[in-house]
Amino acid sequence: MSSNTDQTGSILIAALGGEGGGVLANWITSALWNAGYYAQGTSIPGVAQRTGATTYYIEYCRIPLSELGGRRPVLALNPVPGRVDVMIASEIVEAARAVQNGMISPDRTTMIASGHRVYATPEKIHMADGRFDTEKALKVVHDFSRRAIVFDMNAVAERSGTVINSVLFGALAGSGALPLKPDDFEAALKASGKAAEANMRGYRLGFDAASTGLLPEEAQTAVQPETDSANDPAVGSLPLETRFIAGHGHRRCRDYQDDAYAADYMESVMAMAGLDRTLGGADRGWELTNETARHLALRMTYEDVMRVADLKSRPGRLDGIRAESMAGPDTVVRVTDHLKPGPEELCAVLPERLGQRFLDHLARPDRKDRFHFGMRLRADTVTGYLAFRLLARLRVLRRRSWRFAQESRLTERWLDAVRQAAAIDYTFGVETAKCADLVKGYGSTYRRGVHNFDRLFSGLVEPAIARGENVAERVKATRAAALRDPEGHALDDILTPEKPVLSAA
Amino acid sequence: MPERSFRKEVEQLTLGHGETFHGEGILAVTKALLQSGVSYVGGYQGAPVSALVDVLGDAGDLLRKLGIHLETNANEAGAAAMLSASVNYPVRGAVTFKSIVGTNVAADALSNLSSPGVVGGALVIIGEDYGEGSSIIQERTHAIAMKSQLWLLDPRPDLQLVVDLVEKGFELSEASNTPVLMELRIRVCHMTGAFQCRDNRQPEFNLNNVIPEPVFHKDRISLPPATYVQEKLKVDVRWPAALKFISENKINEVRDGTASDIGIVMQGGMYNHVIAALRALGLADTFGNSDIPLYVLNCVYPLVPDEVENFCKGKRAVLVVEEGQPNFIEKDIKALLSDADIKTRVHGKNVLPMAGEYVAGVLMDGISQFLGLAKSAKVPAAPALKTVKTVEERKRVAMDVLGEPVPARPPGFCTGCPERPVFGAINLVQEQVGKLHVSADIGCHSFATLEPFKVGNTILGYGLGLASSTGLSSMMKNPVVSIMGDGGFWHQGLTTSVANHVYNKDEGVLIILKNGYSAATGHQHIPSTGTNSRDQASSMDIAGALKGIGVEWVRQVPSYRVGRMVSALKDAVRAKGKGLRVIIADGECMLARQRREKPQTAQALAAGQRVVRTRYGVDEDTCTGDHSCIRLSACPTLTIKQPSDPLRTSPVAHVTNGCVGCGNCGEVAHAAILCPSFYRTDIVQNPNWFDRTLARMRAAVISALAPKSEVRT
Repeated sequence: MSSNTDQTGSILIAALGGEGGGVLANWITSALWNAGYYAQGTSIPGVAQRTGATTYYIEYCRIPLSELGGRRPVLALNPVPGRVDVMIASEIVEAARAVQNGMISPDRTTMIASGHRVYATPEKIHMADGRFDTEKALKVVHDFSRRAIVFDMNAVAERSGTVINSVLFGALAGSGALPLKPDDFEAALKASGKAAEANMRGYRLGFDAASTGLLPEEAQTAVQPETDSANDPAVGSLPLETRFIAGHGHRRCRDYQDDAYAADYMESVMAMAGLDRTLGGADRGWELTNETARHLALRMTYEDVMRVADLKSRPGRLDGIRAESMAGPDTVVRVTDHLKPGPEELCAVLPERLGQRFLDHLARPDRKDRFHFGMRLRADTVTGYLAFRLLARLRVLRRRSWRFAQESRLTERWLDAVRQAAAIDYTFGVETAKCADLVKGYGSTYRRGVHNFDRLFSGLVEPAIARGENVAERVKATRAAALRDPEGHALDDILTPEKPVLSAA
Repeated sequence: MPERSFRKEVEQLTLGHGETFHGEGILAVTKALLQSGVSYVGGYQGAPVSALVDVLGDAGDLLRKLGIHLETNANEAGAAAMLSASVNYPVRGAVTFKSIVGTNVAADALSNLSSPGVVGGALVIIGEDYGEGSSIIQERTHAIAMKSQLWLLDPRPDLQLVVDLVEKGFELSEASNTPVLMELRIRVCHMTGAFQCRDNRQPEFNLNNVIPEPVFHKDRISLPPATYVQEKLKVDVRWPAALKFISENKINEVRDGTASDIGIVMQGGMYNHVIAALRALGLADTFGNSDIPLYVLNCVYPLVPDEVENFCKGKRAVLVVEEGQPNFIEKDIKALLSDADIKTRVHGKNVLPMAGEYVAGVLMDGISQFLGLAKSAKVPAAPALKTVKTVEERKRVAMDVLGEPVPARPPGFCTGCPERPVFGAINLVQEQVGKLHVSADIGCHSFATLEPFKVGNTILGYGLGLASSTGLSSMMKNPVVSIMGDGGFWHQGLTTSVANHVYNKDEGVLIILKNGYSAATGHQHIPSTGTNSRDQASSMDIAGALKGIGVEWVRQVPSYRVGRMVSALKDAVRAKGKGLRVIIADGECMLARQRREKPQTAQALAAGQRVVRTRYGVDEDTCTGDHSCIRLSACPTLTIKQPSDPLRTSPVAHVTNGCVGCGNCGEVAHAAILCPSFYRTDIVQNPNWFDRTLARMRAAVISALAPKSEVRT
């Protein structure tokens, strides 16, 4: 029997549980049935579909029912590798998963996928950036399909007030990949009853995009507005390729404290650029200056209570929240901020010596977690606003505070190490500069960051500098380990490889 | 109200002779039961067979008319025990549950049922939850059938055949006085298709025409000496009767093919998969016409020796396609052929994997390897092997481009799930009191064992969370914390776990997650839902039950109050010497709540009423991209996005518009002292005059107070 007697068509749908992939599968099977084709769909619902990746599979017989006579097609319940005719994916990594599993073939598969990302838990819980490379997903999706219709259908659905299903269904209809007429698809959509009007809106947008090859307006991303930081006079004398970041850093510091503070920042960046020049930075795209300027700006604008209060009472914040929560024009929006300042926040205001005495007092274990005020402030009320502004105004106390002294020491230690490491080896300097990323967040997250930073510097970076040894690769690996798990197991393993074996408790 | 409403499907259950039924596999089975004249139906929910009882629950009028009794059983043991009605009376009955776990729970009753046997047809519809998408341990129901001599049907995935086989199954049961199991895999239960109906049959004895006299028959009691007689009857009378029925009614099917020197023997349920693989290898067409002869076992236990011998005789080799392990069928066939002195070589697990689901790719690989070994004169192996290689090569190239496997996406808690804050609280408590050994249970809450919570050291069975902690209860520094859902509590947790714990005066902490339903299986009602499946009020309360059996330390805490949960749990952990400490985490399943509230909200909005929608958000400017909040929550709507600040490289946290405003992220950030980035937004829709005026005044004052001179971006 040769394969040309195979008259089976197949459609594989990859979706995330709860997205309504089953509804889409039903639309497709009923469109096929109603158009006179024998079709069969199946799925694996049950608890397995709760938020996880799931698939729906449809097969149909290309010979119309009217020509089948007494014959009954035998249709598969699972996709066959390399034999999927139409692949529908509600998210781009799910499309790539089907490629990874070998389902897709460049000689037969029409790929209809939304290009947006829904991040998976391992990507989200990473302590820095654990995102899968979307470009790679896009590449396999295009490389391995006969024809790929990929655009941000989620944006289209959101902006036209419908669900992604209907856009995917429209794109399937518009692709011409099934032997059906648009009427067949539309009838199936209408017959499903609920939200027919909104579904039809999404369907049309998907249909037009797939049939004309033109992106719907809703899928186009906004053009980024020009930022003038590269033209900031303060950065004028820096190498051109560093002005963007240094300009942003400068503005951030001025916004955080005042002009003098921003000038301090620029001075440090200039000094680093000078060093960079002598180390041949021009050949390396000024990476040392850029990384230092980036992290120095973030270090110098650490998030203390004044900064948070300031950012939370900016004009325009409430409008931003209103837009993000898709609150209609005739609604009233109320915003409640969840704050819980603790010792760090108080020490951001207290003078250095007073702050130290306060912390010493809290050092006893039973007092450790006591000192926290839970506050819920209404940002949209006058009192809430005034409270935030009052806190923001405490900025005048910042430069004499315990926290400022602490941060400055850390920054100096880091900058020193960056300079000396760079003198040993350029890459060592860059890797050391990037270590500033370890210190971030609030409360225990912040304390953990400082602790990890200290372990990395006293355990690896500083001894290496003293020896004059280039340990760029190890710094990179250790930094990655510090960001792998919050408990610090990976960091332990890399810094102290011969750990004593845990005794059974 | 279960997750799915079957009102539309119920109409199809009334279809008569010659009419066409369109629908899913499990609904086809339901219709087949009505066509078979069942007197009673029962079951315990679990994918993939929950729908059977759910749809009948929606079909009250029809059942009343036919006089059929429907029971939602306490657990699978209860369901199997219900079949005892058929031991003495000529009434047909069917029950359903998920397998292997459900069959294990039912095993006691099944043994005691199979020993005396039945006079009325007894059928168990088994949801064989094996392979992709399964939520349970991977074992076969086949072994249960073998040890108790219950006949096991495994129909070819064709709705007409499935329906016919349900009816034949009752006849087989009656002809051999033996209960019959029918195993249906996940995808078959959810497979759509069509079949020709027959009229529904009113059973002779039913709710409207009762059994006139109780029957006493000493040989039908599972007690020695009757049990010795029963065992003899099983092998001497009932087994041969079954073989005769299976053979005469052509339950198993033989499909001839041109390559008569080889053949494939398969479980009926594997048939479509095998055909799909053969099709991909160019060895079959769309209608199942295969070059290789096929023997399709719609009854996988017992095998019919004559049929096996006839199919294999004269062939060089056969392949046995038998999913799962151990490979009982393959070994049986080898033994049968050996006894009959037939030299046909039997392949099976030597070319197919011992463990795991037989999906098309696996079968393509196995079949082509079989062709290589069998050396048929009619079917060359080379083209098949080449097809398989092409697929493998393509996967390799794709992986080269991807660089690493795409991230896994296992199931997890839904948006707004009331169980999420409880596990966040457990992790926060562990930071304060030290690590806890957590004895987990079956239910949605099992997901807590996965990233990012990683809470739960063992899972031993449904309602057994606390029971499985007792061995360790006095051996840990911190008390063992056990988890149980309200589904598990009523399934068997109340007796096996709680009562016995109290009776033994054991130490321990139990958290009961009371979401009001058997949520994982589709929101079937349970005693603490408030109503039963027929919407009759039930006043059965967990706290009351606990009190009744002598639990003294009970606290009820709303699930979303993370701070209160943390302090209650800390108290419970520290209350050493107080016996069992129970915390009832009270929070309705959010899926169920949304399903109920959404239409009401839409209605209120349309009517112009004031409705407040709550959601949470993250201030991008103050988020530093550490993602602690996500590690403590893992809400699908709490995700990450590219920061608009060019200085930041790590993605920042972000709440999508799928947020249902449960408040967990804010509560967790607050309780864990994470960060000040979370805010709550209350959107007042259709605001009244007061709302609008107040908002306008506030905005005006704030705008007047706002600093004008400072440079702010």
